[in-house]
Amino acid sequence: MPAPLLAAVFWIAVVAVVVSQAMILRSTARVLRAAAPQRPLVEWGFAVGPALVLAVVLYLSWQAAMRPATIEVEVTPLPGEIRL
Amino acid sequence: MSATAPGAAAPTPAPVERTLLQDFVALTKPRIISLLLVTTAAPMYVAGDPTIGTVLLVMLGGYLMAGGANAVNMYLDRDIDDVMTRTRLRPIPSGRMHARLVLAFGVGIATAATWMLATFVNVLTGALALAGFYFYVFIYTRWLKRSSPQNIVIGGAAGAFPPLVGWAAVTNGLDLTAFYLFLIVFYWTPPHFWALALNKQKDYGNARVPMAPLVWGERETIAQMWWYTILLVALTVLPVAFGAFGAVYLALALVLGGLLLWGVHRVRVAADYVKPAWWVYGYSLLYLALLFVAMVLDRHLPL
Repeated sequence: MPAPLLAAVFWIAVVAVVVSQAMILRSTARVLRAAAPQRPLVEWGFAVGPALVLAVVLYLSWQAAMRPATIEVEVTPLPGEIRL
Repeated sequence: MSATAPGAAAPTPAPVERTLLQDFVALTKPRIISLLLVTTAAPMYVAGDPTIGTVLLVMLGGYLMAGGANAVNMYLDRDIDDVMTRTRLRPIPSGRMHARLVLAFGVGIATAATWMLATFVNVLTGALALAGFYFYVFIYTRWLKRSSPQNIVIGGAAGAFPPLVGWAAVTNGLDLTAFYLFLIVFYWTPPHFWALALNKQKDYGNARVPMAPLVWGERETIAQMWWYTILLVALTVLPVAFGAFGAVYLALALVLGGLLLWGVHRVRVAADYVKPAWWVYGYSLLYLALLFVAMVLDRHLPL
């Protein structure tokens, strides 16, 4: 697929992931305030933990997506072609 | 929105007659495992070209491990299975099997699976499958299920181990694509199970399981289902950007994801969410299976 299309797919998906994760955290904050759970820190951990993992995976994906394409070529020279 | 009030006593379903063998099979929850096996086998063909022997061995090991986890789950949840309509006829609450026999069976087949995968496939595969077992039994069933409305969110990680198992069986390692397969199942779990929980609030209420619709309310749960589904669909297309999959997969992921988004949107806007939520529950099972098939097609179709 052409590089500009891949870049567009990447950035649109990243924006969708970031916005939806932010909305999930916002919604969780709302329900935690309303429900007043016994262990608010643990509940917050359950909400924030996946978001942190997601941030790391997005960073690694960005690195992988920006890496220039390479082709691996294996060359086995004939004995007569080796000159020291 | 429709609501099923918690607290009312669940009606007793008609008793069924089963052989001992049928009960042992029922303990493993074969219908649930069939989807886990798809999410185990498909990554094997995405990661490489495994022999049919390796695939069958991993399938058998995966079935025994997940079946063992399900049997131990039935042992630990035998008190709440007795008060929920849909679980009341399981072997323990119906009195057909002794609880300790179920526990021994579950631990036994999970141990056999660990030995089989570690010996005949590789140690990483056995370790990952065992980690999934421990996560399901101790983190989800024992801890989260009865203590947090986010039980399904974190517990979803248990169901996300099979793609890692399949990947490791072929490559004896894990990479970014494998982690994406894990995350796809992880983020698929909340909208899938909350669609069920919306329609089974009475059952969960009777069993005092703090599912999100009961604790947070239906409106907030449905809002989170929507955002989780958008996040899921976005995650499914991201591997295309770094070359893990191509155009065939991208097109199929967008079509399948678009249908799932449409289904969840219907739950959001419906005056009565019961039918749209059942549709989302059923379609999301098909969605995950077809998404993983799309990954295999993309890798192996000569396009």
